Amino acid sequence: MGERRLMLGNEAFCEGAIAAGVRFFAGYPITPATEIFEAMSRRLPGVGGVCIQMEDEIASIHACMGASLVGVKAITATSGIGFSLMQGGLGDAAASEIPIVVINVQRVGPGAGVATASAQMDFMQSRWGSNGDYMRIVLAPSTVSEAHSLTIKAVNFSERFRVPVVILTELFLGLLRDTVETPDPGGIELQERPRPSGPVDGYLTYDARTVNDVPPMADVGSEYRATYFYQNGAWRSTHVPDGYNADEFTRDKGVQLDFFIRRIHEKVLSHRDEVVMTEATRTDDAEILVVAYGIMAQVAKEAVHLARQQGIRMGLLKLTTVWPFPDAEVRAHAARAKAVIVPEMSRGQLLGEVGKALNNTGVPILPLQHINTRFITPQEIIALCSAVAR
Amino acid sequence: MLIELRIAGTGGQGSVMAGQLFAAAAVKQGLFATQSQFYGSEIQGGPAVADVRISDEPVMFPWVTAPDILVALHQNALDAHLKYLKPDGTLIYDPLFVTRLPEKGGRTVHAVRLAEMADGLGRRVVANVIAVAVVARLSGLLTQDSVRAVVDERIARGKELNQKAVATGYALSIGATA
Repeated sequence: MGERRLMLGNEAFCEGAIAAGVRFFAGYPITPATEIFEAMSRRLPGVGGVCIQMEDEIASIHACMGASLVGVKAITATSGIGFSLMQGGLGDAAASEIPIVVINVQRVGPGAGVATASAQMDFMQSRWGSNGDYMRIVLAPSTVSEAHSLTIKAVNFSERFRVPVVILTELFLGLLRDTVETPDPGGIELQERPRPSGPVDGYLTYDARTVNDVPPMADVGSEYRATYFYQNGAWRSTHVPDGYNADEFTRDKGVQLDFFIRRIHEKVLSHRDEVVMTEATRTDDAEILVVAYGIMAQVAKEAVHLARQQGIRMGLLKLTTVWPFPDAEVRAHAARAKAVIVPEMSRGQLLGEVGKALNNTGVPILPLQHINTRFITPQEIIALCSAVAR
Repeated sequence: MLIELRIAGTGGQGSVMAGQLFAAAAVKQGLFATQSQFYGSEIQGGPAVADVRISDEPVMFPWVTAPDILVALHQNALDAHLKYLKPDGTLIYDPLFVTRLPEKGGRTVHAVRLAEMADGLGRRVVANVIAVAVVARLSGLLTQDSVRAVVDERIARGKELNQKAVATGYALSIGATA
């Protein structure tokens, strides 16, 4: 193992990114994500990388996409309205199948909201924030150590599946310092996007035969001629295998679009077992199941620990991956529960998704929602739990 | 073992840096620590609170709910946070800024002239480092060596002055006041 040290959450995201091979960051400062940017500006030049302050968040995400197109792993970090501004870029990255990672350190919204207050109000936006229909991978760390390890996973997933990946975290975690042992860099498995190896002639930018395929991605500037974004000087829309528009007279537009939209879901969902990560704590005999993500899952873990000391059979299902939503996992772990508690710092965004997962099961779901900037305490979870267990 | 420490002052007094130094020194000694802070958008003048949890095993719940030790660097900070201090906890306050004290109850109370001691060293900004040293010694949690080491690592400017501040805090003879 590496060295044990006190590390800021936002610093752990930076260190995880560097360990994952990220060598480009373009961003715009915003509380409470700025420390990631600051850390990147200190660290990247020393490892041969580039860190740029752009004029805004729209430029930031597009600069990251540009870096990724030439073959460099790229990441950005933002919060609040900055994350809203990046949604168009996230959609374009999904459509053009460009690997990038966006860290959203959630603060209170809507709009400018409260810069210095923590929240979990972007749960739905992290999945559905842009137009169009595709699968996004969204990961949510619960500890500073996990901020490090999940950033490596996020970069790996983005490369492997050629998708934008969102890390959904909160001010509470970004600005928390905790004791971490960073892994030995030699022990970290790094993944690279699939790159073409066949003949240069006949290379197709989006060469996919089945809906599960991730097409090999040529670096712009390499000998392969890739067609991204533009053709004949015009903005290209949704693509077919050679990268050109699906709306030409000679092509069957409907069939090709159907294939494409299904593929930008299925290339991720066909690996659901690896992508959807959850962590169960004492769920085997649990009468009360807590379902939580992010730092609220860490609070719930403490609640389980304290509840068990009081003889309350409580368990936790922590959602490490929040999208694709772990619906089957929620259903399986709730099967023997008398009730499910959903603590979150939003007005029911996670609750709704848990409700969908438990539809027709008859298991009662109890919300525990703070939208007052204060963290939920383990004691509040236990109080709710005791009322049900009786 | 779990110790909760809260350092509460106003923006500019160095509460957050003090919390970081304390937590980092604990980790240096092989303990586990978390450190969090709560402050407004203001650079100076608004409330600034740093919390530290220290344990001999990994800390699960990261935040302070009932401090064992409260360091109050401002009257507003004392007024806002004394209610959270454990009934048998320890209060350390700077009498230059805190003049109205409530009933002591079962708590141990120490008045420490942090700002004036810092003035005596030449710069008031090191009052927070003196506070760290005072709490480190009173709590018996941290050695002077580990505090000296983190102060050296984490404060870029005025290294000599800050080491003097550590020495001053450790040398102080502290008796509980009524």
